[in-house]
Amino acid sequence: MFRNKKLVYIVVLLLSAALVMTGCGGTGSPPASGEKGKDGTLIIARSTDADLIDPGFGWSEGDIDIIFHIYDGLVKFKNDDLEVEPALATEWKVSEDGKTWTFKLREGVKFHDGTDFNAEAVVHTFKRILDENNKYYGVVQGGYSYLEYLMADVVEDVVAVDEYTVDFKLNQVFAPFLTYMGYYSQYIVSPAALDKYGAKFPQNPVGTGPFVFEKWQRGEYVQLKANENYWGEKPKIDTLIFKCVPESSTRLMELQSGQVDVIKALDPGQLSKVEEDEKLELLSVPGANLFYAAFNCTKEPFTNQKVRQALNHAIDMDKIVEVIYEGSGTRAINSLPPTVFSFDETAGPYEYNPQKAKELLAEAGYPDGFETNLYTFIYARPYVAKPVQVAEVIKAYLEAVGVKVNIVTNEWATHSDIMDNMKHDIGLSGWYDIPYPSNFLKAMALEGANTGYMPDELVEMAKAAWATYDRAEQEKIYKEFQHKLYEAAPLIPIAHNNYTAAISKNVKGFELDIIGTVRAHKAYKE
Amino acid sequence: MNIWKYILKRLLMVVPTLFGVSLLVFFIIHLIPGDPAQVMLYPKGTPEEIEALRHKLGLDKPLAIQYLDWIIGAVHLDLGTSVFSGEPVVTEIFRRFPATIELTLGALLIAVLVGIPLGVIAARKRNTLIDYSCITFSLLGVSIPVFWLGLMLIFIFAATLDWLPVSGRITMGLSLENITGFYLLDALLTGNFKALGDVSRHLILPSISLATIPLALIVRVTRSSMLDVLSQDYIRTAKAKGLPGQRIIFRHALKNALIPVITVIGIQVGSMMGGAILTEAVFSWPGIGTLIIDAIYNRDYPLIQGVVFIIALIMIIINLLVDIIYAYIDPRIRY
Repeated sequence: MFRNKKLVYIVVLLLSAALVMTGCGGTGSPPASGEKGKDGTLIIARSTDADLIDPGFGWSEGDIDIIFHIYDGLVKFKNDDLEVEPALATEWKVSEDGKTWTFKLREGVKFHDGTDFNAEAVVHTFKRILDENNKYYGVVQGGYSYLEYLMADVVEDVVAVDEYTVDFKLNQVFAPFLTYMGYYSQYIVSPAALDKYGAKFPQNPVGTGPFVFEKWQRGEYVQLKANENYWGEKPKIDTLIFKCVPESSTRLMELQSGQVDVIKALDPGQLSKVEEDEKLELLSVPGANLFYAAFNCTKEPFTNQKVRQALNHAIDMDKIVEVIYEGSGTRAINSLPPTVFSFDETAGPYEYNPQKAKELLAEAGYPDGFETNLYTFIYARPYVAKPVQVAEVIKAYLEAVGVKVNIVTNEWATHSDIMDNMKHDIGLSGWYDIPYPSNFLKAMALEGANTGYMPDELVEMAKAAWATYDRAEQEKIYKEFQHKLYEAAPLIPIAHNNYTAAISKNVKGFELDIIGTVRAHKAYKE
Repeated sequence: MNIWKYILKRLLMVVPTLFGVSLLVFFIIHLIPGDPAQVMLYPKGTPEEIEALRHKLGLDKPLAIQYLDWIIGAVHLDLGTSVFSGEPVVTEIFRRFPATIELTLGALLIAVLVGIPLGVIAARKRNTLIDYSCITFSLLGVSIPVFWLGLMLIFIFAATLDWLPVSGRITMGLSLENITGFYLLDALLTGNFKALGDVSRHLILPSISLATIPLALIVRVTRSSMLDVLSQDYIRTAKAKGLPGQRIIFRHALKNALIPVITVIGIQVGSMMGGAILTEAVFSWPGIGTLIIDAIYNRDYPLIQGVVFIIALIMIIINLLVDIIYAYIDPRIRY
């Protein structure tokens, strides 16, 4: 009797344990599988949440995707060449001297809060960031404004000529101006909402776009609903959700089990799995980005052009793309992505030739090579998934020509600090931006690459290219620029990463563009 | 000393402890290279632009002044504003904490309800197959990487068998009014049973995943503590008196064996509160772990400072609770 009782006890204990392990779900009926991703609801899983859903201050990938759905610009991109077509402006013209752009605005457009879109709204959108006398200046406590970065040096004034006409007065002819107007940071915000929400505007975004902000559960998801009063083509889905799923394996399983419809940013190793899965479709676009190794041209031995050229010759970039990008990228010819206007395929690349590398090193006075540090960072960035592995491969190639390499790995913030203060010898870094040649050539290759290489000649050329609206003239200058940069070799252009997404086959009309943002405006489910 | 006096004394010690923690954290995070301005602007900003942003964020002030500003704010319960989201740190933390607490409680429930019985059984069946199985089980629990286990659980129970959701706290699109931030509680309060079921289902896999380490530790500590107690004279006496076996175990032995177990539980709760980072990442659980990881990568100084401050506070409170529970369980303990 005694033994039996004890047994009963143990059984009860084990049963209760089992109940806890598996049984909590008993409290409610599980949602029927038909309810998962209900028709009319499109769920996109991304690695990050948004920070600031505000065109003026948002700057991360997590923000930009969402801003493109809630807001409109005066113009929008028509294609991957960044040609623009009318959006909130129906027509525009530039003055004789090229310094005044006049936009005719679309009439009858309303913000999501019901207020009218007009010239006043355009003026405040720009002046709340550019003019400290504007009543909305400093209302939103954002750290960094992309609008300011792109426009502050050239835009002198924004004037409402009448209810539906706006003049932008520039201090110079500015070639990228119209292109920039199609980029998210120049999208138009509702002044009434700025009044209403003040500093909390980024958490309560109000624009004119195809989707209306509904709910933001921090760290979890952002939910938008279709704008029934949209001035353009109305969305076909009712609800659009951006879910935050940090771990890439979890993202893929979310998609495979049908709990989300789209996933962004796949690991290179996942590409083949998606291709093999007949229920899924892979989207892969050549990204407008660049991953490169920057020489510190202010430091020996990288002050020597021959050394820089030698190391460019020493590395087999095709192999890096094949092995580490697993084919999901293209080898870089020079600093400009091939998808960008004015790209010159003859300005590069340095062919892989270790023998030539050794000869150049000998000519430069380093027949036995030298020792140097290669700085890299952990974790993926939009232009590279495995930066540490790239560093290891580069080390192997450089040691084959006699250069001894010590790899120094840091997390991104520390790495930025090292590069920023030019404490590196060779440092891996990258760039992704609105794909206008000036961004990749002037802003990146000269100013932002942390090479310390900035000859007046190239700076003047970049300025000259900016100061003309003549595409042929720009193209001529930019091509010459690429050749000069190629000769000087202040950096090693490595690769352009493809932007990737995977979608369920029943999702149609969904787009991923060359700047890596998703577009669900025309998406629907079959 | 009377227990109330003891509690009061311990509570008073909270102030210098928190001050020390905040000072340490402040200087450590400022010592590591990289600051929020660089994270935001690199590589696009020029040195002048980065300097301007530093000025705007107040990062160009002397460190001592920055710390003083922070501590004065903290005394007024103002932990500053997140550099990246522009929202008050207090708001950010209290938005994320319920998720972490819900997950911690789920894991704790599993760890205690499974761990203590297994430990007791192992001790009773010492050196038998059952004992060895329990030891192996607990060894596996501490050895299996949480990250891998989490992914395997998702793969088996969500992706393959489709019994449970893959990740997150609630099915997207399911409406649940947010009152307390504790989804289970919110669902109960609003009588939303559909959401209650959904939220519970989302809680199962991450709770199991987070429970493995504390569960394994509880099994081992319970077992060894029970073995120790079972060899005591008073247990022999009880047996000799002819008391029924389970009464000896649960009434006389277990209660005395629980002291070290409770210590382990206390420490584990503390580390789960701040250390559920991997589990939260695998299961897209929007808790404090993912918040602090992002904050550290972004060098969001006020946010890091605030989260560590709150976690330290919670650790102190848990330790105090553990001490009080000792006195309750073992009347011989006096403070």
